[in-house]
Amino acid sequence: MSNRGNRVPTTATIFAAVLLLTTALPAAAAQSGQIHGQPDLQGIWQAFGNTASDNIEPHIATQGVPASVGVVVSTEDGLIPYRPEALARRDENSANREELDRVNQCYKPGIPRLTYMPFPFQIVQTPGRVMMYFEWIHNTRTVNLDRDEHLEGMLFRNGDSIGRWDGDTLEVTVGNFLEDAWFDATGNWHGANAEIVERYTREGPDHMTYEVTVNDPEVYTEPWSMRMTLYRRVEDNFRLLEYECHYYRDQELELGIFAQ
Amino acid sequence: MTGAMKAMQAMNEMTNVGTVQMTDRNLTPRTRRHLAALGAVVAVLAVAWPVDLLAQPGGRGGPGGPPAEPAGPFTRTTDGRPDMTGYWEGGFFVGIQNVETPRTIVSPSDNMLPYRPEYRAETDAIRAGNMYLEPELHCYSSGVPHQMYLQFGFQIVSNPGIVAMAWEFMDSYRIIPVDGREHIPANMKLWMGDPIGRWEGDTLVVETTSQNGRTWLDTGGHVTTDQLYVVERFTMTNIDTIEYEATLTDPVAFTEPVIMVETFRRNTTPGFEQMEFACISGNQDRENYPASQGGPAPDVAPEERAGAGFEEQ
Repeated sequence: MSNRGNRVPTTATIFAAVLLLTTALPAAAAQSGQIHGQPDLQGIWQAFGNTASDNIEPHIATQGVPASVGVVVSTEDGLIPYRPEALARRDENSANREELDRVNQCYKPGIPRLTYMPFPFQIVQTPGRVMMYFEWIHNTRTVNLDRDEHLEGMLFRNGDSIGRWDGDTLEVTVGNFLEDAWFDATGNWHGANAEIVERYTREGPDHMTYEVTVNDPEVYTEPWSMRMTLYRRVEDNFRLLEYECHYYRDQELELGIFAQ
Repeated sequence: MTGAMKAMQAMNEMTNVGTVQMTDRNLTPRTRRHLAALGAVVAVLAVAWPVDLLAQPGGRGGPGGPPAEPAGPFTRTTDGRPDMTGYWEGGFFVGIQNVETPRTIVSPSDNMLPYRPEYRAETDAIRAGNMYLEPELHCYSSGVPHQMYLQFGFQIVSNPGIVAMAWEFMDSYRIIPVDGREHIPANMKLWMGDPIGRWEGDTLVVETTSQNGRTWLDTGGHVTTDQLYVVERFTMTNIDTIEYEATLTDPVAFTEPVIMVETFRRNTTPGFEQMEFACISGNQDRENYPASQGGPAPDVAPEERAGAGFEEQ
């Protein structure tokens, strides 16, 4: 027993020394929160509890939708500074949401809505790209760090994302939208010509502040912004799974194959 | 869990030494001793291999400095693994429509899938008159290994503890944890299955379980079952080449394992990037699929059909 008692700390000591020797560089990088010389945002993230996916403005509860003071932070009343005709369009969207909401058709929801839908997403970084992989219909976003202008003449449902590091914050400018898009299931919307700037700032190992500024003079009287917290999924063995919206929809409507 | 899988699990835990992801919270004393022994080996390697471990983070093309010189045949990640990060192209023009070619299937020796009779009959019936069942026509994911030889190429990000792959086609991705974790419960079935990776030397080995049996091995009707188990091996042979091998085991559909091969070459186009692929909103194929192949649309004469769709786009 005494032999064994002596061996264990020896092994542990060797292990610790070896670990120091072999992992000094990556361990230091992890402590300072860096990967590829960039702030490390890697992990699986999810918005919780703010119900922004249902309605980004302040709202009381309705059946199945919890109440929230909203996520719009740039206006005192928490409301989006719509022009009158744009507000009327929002109300029309809301009244016809079942039919008009792209998410109900399983289309790509646009940015920023994809970020705070009630599904996790994972960030993985390279020197020139910040990749975001979403559980929701395996949407994939490439944030390109290697160029500072949008692609000419190319339009996308989730927009064209170009990023840069502002200190420890990842700032992503999103433009080139294919069409008007919604922020939430209530029909709050922006135009295809909107410019959206997202800011991702890690606040610690398990939290990230997500801020979005929306500029679309055709729709709003002034630029406005929202802010929320993204939470890192810390459960053991957590991973992205699948939410194949269109497959479930096909089954409901008895379209496609494998309808049962 | 089989004995072999448990052995792999133990190896996975051991190979975590030297990565920033390592944690010893859940390790048994025995595994700790294994780690210590492996750590000593790694220490020797580190002395013999200082250039790679001290390489500039991010390797070639990293920000804030001149491009790093490739160390040997390829660069390495900060934990000493082959750095596969970049964009890659496969030989999709061969296997994508029909995997039963010598270029793709190297075993069995007749380059054919060793189907049991009922699965060969199912595939033949699909090819004869029910191609409407093709999953990709409906924007359903392709499964593994079919995903690996799709059109438009793919991106790999290999960072310590994780290898992520993303395709322009259908915006699909595979996130492969290389951190010693276990598979999801066997009753869960996914279109892309559940991949788990480990390093065997410089080869990335990926085991994929839990596929749903609804995907095909190509666009040509070669069916699978939910008992398909795939082991893939990714081996970089130089900075611009990955040799790929997939071993498919399916005791329900196949009489023996199938081995498929592919070579991925780096896309070195400056500034290359993958674009959005909005399959669901853009899909017009499905509603126009002809009845003679199981679709909802009337058949049209070839002279009326040919090229019409392309002109309209």
